Amino acid sequence: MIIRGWHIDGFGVFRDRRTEALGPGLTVLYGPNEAGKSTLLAFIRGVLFGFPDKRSRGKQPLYPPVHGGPHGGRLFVEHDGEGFTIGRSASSRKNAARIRDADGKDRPEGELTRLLGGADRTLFQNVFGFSLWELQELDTLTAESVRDRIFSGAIAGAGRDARAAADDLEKAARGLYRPDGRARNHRMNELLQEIRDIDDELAEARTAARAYPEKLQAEAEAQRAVEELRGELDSKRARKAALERLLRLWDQWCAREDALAELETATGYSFPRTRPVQPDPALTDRQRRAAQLRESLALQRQRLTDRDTRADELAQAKTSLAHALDALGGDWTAEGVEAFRMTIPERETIRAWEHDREAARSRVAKAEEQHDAAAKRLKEAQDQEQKLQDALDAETDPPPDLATLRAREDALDRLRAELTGLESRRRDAENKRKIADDRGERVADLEAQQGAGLIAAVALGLLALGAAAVAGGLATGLAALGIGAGAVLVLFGAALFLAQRRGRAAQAQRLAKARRDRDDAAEAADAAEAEAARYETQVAQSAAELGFAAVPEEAERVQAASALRESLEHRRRLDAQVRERADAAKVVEARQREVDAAEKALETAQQARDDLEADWAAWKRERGFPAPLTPQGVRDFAQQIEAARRALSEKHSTERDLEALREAIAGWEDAARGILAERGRNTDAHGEALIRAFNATAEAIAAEQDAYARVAAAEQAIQREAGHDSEQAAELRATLADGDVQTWRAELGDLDDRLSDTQQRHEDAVARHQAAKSDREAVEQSDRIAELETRRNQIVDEMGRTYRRWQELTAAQAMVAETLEQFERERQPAVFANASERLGFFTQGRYVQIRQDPDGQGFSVLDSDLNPIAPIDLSRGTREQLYLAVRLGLIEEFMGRGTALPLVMDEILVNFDPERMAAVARELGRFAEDRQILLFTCHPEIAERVTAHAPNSRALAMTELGAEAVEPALS
Amino acid sequence: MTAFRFVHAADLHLDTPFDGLARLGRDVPEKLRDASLQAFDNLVAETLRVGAHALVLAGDIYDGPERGLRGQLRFHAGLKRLSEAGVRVVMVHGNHDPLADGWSAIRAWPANVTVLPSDGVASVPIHAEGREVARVYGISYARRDTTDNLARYFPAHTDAPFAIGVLHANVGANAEHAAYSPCELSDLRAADIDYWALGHIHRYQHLSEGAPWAVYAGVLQGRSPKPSEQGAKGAAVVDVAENAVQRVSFAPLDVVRFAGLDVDVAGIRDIPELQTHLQSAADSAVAEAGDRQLILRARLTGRGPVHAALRGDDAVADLRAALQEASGRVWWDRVVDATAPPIDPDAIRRRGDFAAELLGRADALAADPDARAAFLKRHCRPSDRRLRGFVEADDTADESELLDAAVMEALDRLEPADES
Repeated sequence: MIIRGWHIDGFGVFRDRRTEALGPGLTVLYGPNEAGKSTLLAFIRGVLFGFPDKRSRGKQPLYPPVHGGPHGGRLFVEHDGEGFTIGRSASSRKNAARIRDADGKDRPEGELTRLLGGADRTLFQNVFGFSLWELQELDTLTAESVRDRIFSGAIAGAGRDARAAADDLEKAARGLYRPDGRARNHRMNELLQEIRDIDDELAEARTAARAYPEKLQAEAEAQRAVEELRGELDSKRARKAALERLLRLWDQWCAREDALAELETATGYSFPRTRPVQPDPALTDRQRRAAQLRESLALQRQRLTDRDTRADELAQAKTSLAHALDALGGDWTAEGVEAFRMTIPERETIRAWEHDREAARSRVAKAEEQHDAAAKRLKEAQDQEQKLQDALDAETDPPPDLATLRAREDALDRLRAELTGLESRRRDAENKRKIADDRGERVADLEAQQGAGLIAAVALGLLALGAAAVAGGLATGLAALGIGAGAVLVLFGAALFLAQRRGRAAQAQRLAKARRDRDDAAEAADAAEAEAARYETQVAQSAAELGFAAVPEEAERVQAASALRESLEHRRRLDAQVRERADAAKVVEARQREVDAAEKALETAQQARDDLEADWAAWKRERGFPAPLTPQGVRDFAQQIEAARRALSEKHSTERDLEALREAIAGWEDAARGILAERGRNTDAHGEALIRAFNATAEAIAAEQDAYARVAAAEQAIQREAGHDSEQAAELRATLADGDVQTWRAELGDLDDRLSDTQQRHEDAVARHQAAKSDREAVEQSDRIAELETRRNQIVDEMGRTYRRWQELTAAQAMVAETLEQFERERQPAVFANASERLGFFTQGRYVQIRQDPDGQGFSVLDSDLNPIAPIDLSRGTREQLYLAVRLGLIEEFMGRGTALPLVMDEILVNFDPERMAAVARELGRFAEDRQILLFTCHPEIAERVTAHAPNSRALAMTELGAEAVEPALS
Repeated sequence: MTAFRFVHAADLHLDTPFDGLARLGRDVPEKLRDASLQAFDNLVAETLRVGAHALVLAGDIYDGPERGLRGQLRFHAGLKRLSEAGVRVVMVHGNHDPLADGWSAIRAWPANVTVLPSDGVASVPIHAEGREVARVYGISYARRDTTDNLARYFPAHTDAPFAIGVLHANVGANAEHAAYSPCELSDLRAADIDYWALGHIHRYQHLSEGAPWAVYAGVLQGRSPKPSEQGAKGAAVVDVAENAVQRVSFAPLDVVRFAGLDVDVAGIRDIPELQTHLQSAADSAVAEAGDRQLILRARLTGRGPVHAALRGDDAVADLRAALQEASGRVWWDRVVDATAPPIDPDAIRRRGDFAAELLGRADALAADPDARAAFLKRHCRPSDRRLRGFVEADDTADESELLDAAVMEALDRLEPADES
């Protein structure tokens, strides 16, 4: 690649500066200080590899545009004969290059890498484009990227970066393991830590497992302690239960004592305290009966009260009965009243009598009403008939009957029709006559046409003229003309003659037809006229029949029709009055029949009513009811009997209640006297006195029985506490009989405290036993050791795999690194051989060889006496010549590997003496034969010297590098 | 002669931790913790089911001196059930549970149970129908490091109707197992033993079938994904009649089964295809395991385009998780990616570039074991006492395999991604 020129939009002192004056070979660009030589070098580096961003401020110059304009620009380069523009903007955040080909088409960014032959910024800066300061630094030649590209060029050309691979391997290996014991951040360390943790846990778990016999022993001892304490606890609990039992029985025992004392007082018996006491069966029976009587004590008192009340009620009932019988009359006795029954059917019969009697009276009243109405309607019909007869009698001039009038009406209608027909026939005859006349005229016309012969004459004339013409032509010699004209005339005349003959025949035919038509029409006209005459005769006859003197005119006919319609209407009204009078006569007859029927019905109803009243009177007599009573009166009388009967019934009922009360009172008193007698108290007392006596005795019996019950309850409690064991019960009784309850209570209180303590010790022992048991079971069932060992083995396995992987990575890294070292060591001589030769040329043989240091990190020179001299020990100029020679050697090496870039040097010759400068210039000239070298200097004499000694070189003043650009900035 | 039956089991390793497993989910560890105990319960049940007269246990009842209490109690309970059923139990201790080491929570063995001593071969008669039908000879390990040839202590002549020798030993110097009580088959034949009930080798096998029979019952429950622990595990059921073995049959009694899948990724384009391939490959192992929990470990080998996908972050872990999600009773323990990029080392060597230089360097190390050992010691064998005991096996692993893996690791990073 060579640089053909550039366009600087804005960079340092440059703004819109453009040149395309550059080309291959050695070009010396000279200008005074601050002309922008270093700026140009930085611009070229920046466009090719990127401008330093603002973070580099202070470390290297950024060359912001002093005179404005976009910060950046373009380089015009040529590669393999093809032109490209590489542009870059320093102000762009992305700082990406933009590559366009000669046609202005954008190329992908990767194209730049191809143009640069894979060189990066460092390589370019250190080897291809450097300043005097950079020339003086050995480090710039031993930077890794330079070394790799020099010595490991094969890798760069074939695939991935070997040093990056080595770094990658080392990084991967270090992530897995680092032999340095202080390093912590690697996988193996994590695994070791996990192992340590698990080992700690394992040791703990194994210790626990080994203590199994001790755990068994501890569990057994705990079990024994629990059993001992449980025995002690049971003993104390038994004593406590016995004391509690005695104390629970104590109150009942005391109650038993009291009860027995009471019994002894009441009965005079003596009861042994330590034996069970059985109740007296006779006392129990007596107590039961007395209790029953006491339960009915209130009832007895109520009976006594009720007995007196009932006696009063009986007296009142008797009085009421006497009053009721009096109200019924003398014939009614208590027996009669008691026997009287007004049954429901009888009540219904009375209701039926009442209904029937009312119905009979209603029927009579209704028959009377109907008779009166019929008589009234008969009178109205007779009046109407008379009125109609009077109207008929008043008619003096009745019209003819309806049939006669209708016949006249029909005759008038026929006459009107005949007159219309006559008129029609007259018009028909007139028309037909006119047609016959027209046809006669037609016949006359045709007959006149029959005599005409003009056309035939003309035709014949023409024939003659034609013949003459023919003859004339022949005679005059004008044969042709004469014959022709004559022939035409002959032919025309013949044609006319023939036509005339055909017209005459047709005319004859038309005439014959016209004559037939004329005759037919005359005949038809004659017939029509005869019909009209006949019709006229008929009309005259019809008019005469209707009384007209002659055939009437229209007005006369209308008047006759109007008179006929009035007669018809009069006749119809008269006929209607006759029919109405006949109908009225029939109505009178019907009304008379109705009056007759009503009279008969009235008589029937009156007879039925009278019969019913007779039966009703018989019914009352039969049942003893007074004759005047109506049905309602009968019912009222029966109610009186019912009241008397209820009074009688009340009297009987009260008598029965009183008797029952007296019996119950006597029964209770007999029983009470019996119990009193059993207790040795005979008495004749009755009523309340007897009750009071019985009560006192019953209470004494109950007190004895209660004492026995208390003794029995105490005995039951003793039996219950003794578990129904007679021996224990006897023992309890004996203990209770001799008991000291205060001592028992004191002992129980003390025992509670001791029991609580024993209980607590027992619970503690149980807990200890349970813990020991759980401890033992946990160890027995624990799979912790197995789990930990499995995990440990897994970690150990992972450690093994990690270690193995680390070995692989480390071995791989070592192999790559050692191979890289070997590469550097063995491939450097090619570079140094070239450099040695050039150094000898630069120094006129003063130094003859450059040799790599044993560590491969540096080099030294051998002078003509083959003494090794370190670069630092060389003079400044010679050292710069050494580094220049090495660079040129490197560039040749790169050229061989496809990296061909322009060599851009900034003021590198200032420290060279004239001879060596000339030598360097010659070498640069030769070196530039197939390369591009741009040499910046501020010394015109250097420019002159170089161009003088370097064939085909040229010098360009910085001021000649293009005027202000006119091309717009690359966006 | 009365026919009788006995069951021969060994290497119970009760309540032993599983080894070599990746970190597992929640359910599986619980099953694993109980697996050896449940397998022993299965052994007791099987002994009762087949109506055996005796159960012979050939050592390594426990896994180490730290005999788990849970295992001891479970063992005692099982023996008690057998004893109550009239089954004679005879056992010896092996290198994992020598008599002199460890501790015992068991104060007294149930009747019918005999632990043979370590101070010499002792014998116990087996009776059936009131007559002695066999005699069991055996000797326990006193200490773990018992390297004597214990087979030589067994009697050359016996008057037993049928002699059973119980021995925990490495017969034939099996390299997969430690050389405890090493002996040869000839040593076994020298004794007057009809059936050698052997323990120590974890894979069920018949060393000799007849004159005498020599059978390794194998471990009762597989304990790791190692090849010797894979497949069905259980006990031998031996039928004897006329003083001779009539039939030896294997009874699978394991609860959890390990299986391994080796899959060559050649031709497999991507991870979904690889997953399908693995699931398909797992089907036969699943069918063989029956109702058991199956733990699968897949090892991916070979070169193929899927290698690049497997190199992605967490790609293998995600693949394992996907397999696990799609599986039922199968637990995918690990997917081991031993694949190599689809590169041609010879082509690289011809390029003469950095990778070629690296391969040349690796070739030189491969050709010179001393140089290789020195290289690995220099870079990969840190003297880190923290790791002592954890990574010894890895340090003694195949060095050339390690070197090959390292070269592939380096090439993976050096070769262009689009070539792999």
